[in-house]
Amino acid sequence: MIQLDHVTKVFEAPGGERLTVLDAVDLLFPTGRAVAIQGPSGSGKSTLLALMAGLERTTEGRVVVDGQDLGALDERGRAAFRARRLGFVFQAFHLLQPFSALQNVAIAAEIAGVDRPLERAREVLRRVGLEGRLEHVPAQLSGGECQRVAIARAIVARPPILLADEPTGSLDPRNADGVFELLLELQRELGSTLVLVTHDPHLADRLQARVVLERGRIASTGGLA
Amino acid sequence: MRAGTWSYAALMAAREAARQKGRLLMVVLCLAVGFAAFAATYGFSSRVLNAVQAESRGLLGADASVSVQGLMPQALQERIQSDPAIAGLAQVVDFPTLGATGEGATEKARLLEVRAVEGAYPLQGRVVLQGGSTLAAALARGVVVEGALAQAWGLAVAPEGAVEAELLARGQALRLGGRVVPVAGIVEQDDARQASAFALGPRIYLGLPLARDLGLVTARARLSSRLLLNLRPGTEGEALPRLKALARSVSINPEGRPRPSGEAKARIQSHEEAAANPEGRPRPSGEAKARIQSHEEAAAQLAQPLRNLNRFIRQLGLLTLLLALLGSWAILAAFLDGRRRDAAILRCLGAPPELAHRSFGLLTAGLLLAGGALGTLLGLLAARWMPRALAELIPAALRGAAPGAPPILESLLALALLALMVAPALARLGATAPLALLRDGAEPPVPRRVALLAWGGAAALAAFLVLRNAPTLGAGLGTLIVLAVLLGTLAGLLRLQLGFFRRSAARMPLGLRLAFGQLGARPGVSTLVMSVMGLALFLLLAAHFVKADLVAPILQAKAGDGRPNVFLLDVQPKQVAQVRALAKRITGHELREAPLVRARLRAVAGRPVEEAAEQPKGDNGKEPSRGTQFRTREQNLTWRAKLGPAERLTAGRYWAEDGQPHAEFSLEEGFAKEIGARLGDELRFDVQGQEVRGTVTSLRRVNWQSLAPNFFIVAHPSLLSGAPALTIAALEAPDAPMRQALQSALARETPNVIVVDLAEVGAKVGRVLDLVNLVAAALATLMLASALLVLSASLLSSRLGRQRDVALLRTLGAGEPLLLRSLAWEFSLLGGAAALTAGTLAWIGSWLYARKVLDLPSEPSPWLALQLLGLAALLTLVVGFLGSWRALRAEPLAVLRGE
Repeated sequence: MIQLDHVTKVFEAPGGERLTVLDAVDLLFPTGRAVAIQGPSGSGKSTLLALMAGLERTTEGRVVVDGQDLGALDERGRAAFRARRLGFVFQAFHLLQPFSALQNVAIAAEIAGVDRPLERAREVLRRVGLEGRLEHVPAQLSGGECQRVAIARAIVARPPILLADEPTGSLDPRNADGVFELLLELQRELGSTLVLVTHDPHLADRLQARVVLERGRIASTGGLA
Repeated sequence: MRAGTWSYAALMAAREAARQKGRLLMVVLCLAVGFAAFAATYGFSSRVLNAVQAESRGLLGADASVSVQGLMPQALQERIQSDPAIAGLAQVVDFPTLGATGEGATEKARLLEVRAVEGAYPLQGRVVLQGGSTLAAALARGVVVEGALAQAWGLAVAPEGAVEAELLARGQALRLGGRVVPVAGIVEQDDARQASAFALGPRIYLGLPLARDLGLVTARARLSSRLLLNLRPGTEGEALPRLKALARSVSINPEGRPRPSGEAKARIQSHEEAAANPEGRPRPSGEAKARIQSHEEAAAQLAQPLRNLNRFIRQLGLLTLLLALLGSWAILAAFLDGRRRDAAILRCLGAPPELAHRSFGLLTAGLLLAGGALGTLLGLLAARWMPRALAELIPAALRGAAPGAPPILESLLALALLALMVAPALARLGATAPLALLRDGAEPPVPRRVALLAWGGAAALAAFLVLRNAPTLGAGLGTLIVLAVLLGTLAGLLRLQLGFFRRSAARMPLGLRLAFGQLGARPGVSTLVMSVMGLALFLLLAAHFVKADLVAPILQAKAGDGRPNVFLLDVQPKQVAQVRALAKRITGHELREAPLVRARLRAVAGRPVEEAAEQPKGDNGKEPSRGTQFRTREQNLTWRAKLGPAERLTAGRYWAEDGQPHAEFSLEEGFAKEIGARLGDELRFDVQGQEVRGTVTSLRRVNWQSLAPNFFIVAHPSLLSGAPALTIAALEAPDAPMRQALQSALARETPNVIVVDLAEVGAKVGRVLDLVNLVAAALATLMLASALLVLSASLLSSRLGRQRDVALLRTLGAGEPLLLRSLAWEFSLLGGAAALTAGTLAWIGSWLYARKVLDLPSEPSPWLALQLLGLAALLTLVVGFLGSWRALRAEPLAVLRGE
């Protein structure tokens, strides 16, 4: 369960100007639920994900994941939290360019402390349909394949939480659909909580719950209860 | 394996290394180039200097030596011989003389360095003869010649009992002192032989009794005599100070008789007395003292030319290393900055914050060590080859010396320097919030403290390295300033050029505009590549220009331009008429003569000149200042009624030709400055024991290029014309057969006259400078290689950006020719601008050096600069095209889609 208590995030611009990206947000993401986050650009969707991933600290309020207040963790603690309990999928894939698909996934497994990381990496790459592309580096893979590698990397440690920031935003509709389906399948298999930021209302409709943000505040929620 | 551990960081570093082989190999190669240059020069330098110490006995031929100018006084020899510490003694007399071989058309003559020996020479070290004969056995039969002379003249050992008259024609004898002496041995190895580049001519050995018999060893000016001493084991410590005290207490008078110090000065020989002396030669000037040197002290003196050479070579090596460090830093910093995105991804995946620092830190350390070790290894191998390549500059005994210790401390310091330079880039790896970086957020600055500490530390280490390897603090500071100014000037000028071209780009063709766009996109790397390349080219050009300035005037003298190209030294008064006639008959030219009187300067404006004989240069590792050397050496004086044709008055007035005596001196202005004399100052000279005083009434500027007999000190005729003098003469002998005929005739008729052929001197100086140039060129090539490696690495790290640019241009409709043109412009500008700037600086620098330091009219040829300009442009063009090939061939749409 991911709980956001009165979370506010303020960024300070270089000129001293303060920009409130999230303003007193209260949310509860039940365990195992697939939730879509929607909203216009600049509404705070990605920042919300970053706070849940422990990549940013709140200005006010708390982010509590399975009883653990992320604000109380130091840098090392938050890194360990991400390694073991979180999988993150980015819109721009963000694969390690010099490494093969297999190495990209294996490295994530090693960081998470997974036993026999290489075998596990092979297994999840097979699972995402890339058994024939294990030794290819990102430059030799298509966009859809890169995102499959990124998804494999996110689930390699069987994390209870999956965060995805526009995971299909860089893909053509056919690939986007395939990647989305894969993500949902894996979420169901793992029983993870999936929080997915998307602009696509059709994709959002296929998830169990939805949160709509506007100017850093919650405009509406549905299916979270 | 946990992600936060060092072992996991090492695993990540190993993976990174395996994946980035090409890029990282550039770093290793760039470092290896620098370390190889440094290790080679350092290894060579310490090898030779260590060998000088280790072989010091062999080089001196004894444990210690007693030396005097002129003949060794018998009494001094007896007093030294009676010292209880003496275990062995041999006498050596060195002097130059003309020697000849062959007869008629095959006759050859030249100046030789004669070493006349007596006793068990050498007491230490070896003189190995071809065929296994011993030196003593050979000297009992005749003369022993150096291998190089035997080869050049086709000399062979005369058979026992051969008829002397036939030997000369068969190349089995030499004519020395007007007589024929059979060749009895040819030297294969001589530990005591100095480097051939610093020798007057080939060496020959004679027995001292034979040399006396030939009339070559007399109380003449250019003899130097030594007693070589072997000391009883364990007595060196107490015997040397005792022998030195003995030498200090004995003054040598002109006849070579010792007398207690403080006794009335030796009488000066009058002109008449000198004329009456059987040899008709003047004595060494004034009083000199016997000088005792241990083998270590002698080694220090012998090492002096080597030390100067080593200083030059070592500084160049260090410069190459520093530039390679700069290049490696550029590649590493670009590489590490390129890995920031990956570090951010790892952080997002949950890697602990220290993982990136540790893994990239380990990778960097590994690269540094690999490059340093590879370079040092290659350098040490090169150091084994250098003594062979520079054989003419190194005494024979040192060429096979054991290698010196590798420069471990310097290498570690250099690695630490590079680590400090890279530290800010490593710090940046962890300084960005991961998500902000992945969203292409703004570049975070390096923490100010880290940057300050890192760059401050690096600058301090670089300065320390330069100062540590400099001969003196002043020279080190000078090197630092020159290096900083040169690099700063190069970098500044190149940036100015870039800026200027970019501003004028609007009026340029599209290809050129695109080229400037690419250069300007990475101004730091562009300037660095240009600066390193520019410095390499500067070095090559400056070395060439200076050599051309030094040697050209000497070589030009061959061309029959009216300037003399043969000097005759030590012409005795009674020989002048004979030599004059002989020269006229053979060359058709008149002699240009000047009298020469030897003297010692005793006081300048009432200030006594320091005693120099006890502290020769090189002792205690300290070299006397130039001024001290000028004041304390034996001076060559002449007298002239009026100014010579190559002289011009710059201050004061020259004496009038009124037939009246004037106690006046005229000094060359540079010399006056060195000895601290001004107009109106009184100079006091000791001319063979007699004091000669006079006032400086004029300063002159001398055109040394006239090659006429010119002097620093000219006296009024009334001051010196009564003193015994030798004649120095110069004449024109345009072609080599004429010079050879002159030498042969002089060797037959006046064998004591020394002939200096300027063509030979020019060739010798040219060879030395060629060797120095060889080292400079090798190091400059390494610098050039560093610059090209930096260029390759920068192309590699900017490949994606270049691919995008090319793809975009193609999408916009640019064709292949335009793209190729823009690349051609970009890379030829990179190399061309560097070469142009370096060439201009080198031209100006060498012009100033020749004019202001060497006082020569310099006209460096621009042709070499133009050739190098073309070469640099071509090299950068080739490397640039090779590095950009993949970017050119990439499919535009795939690149723009980010596939």
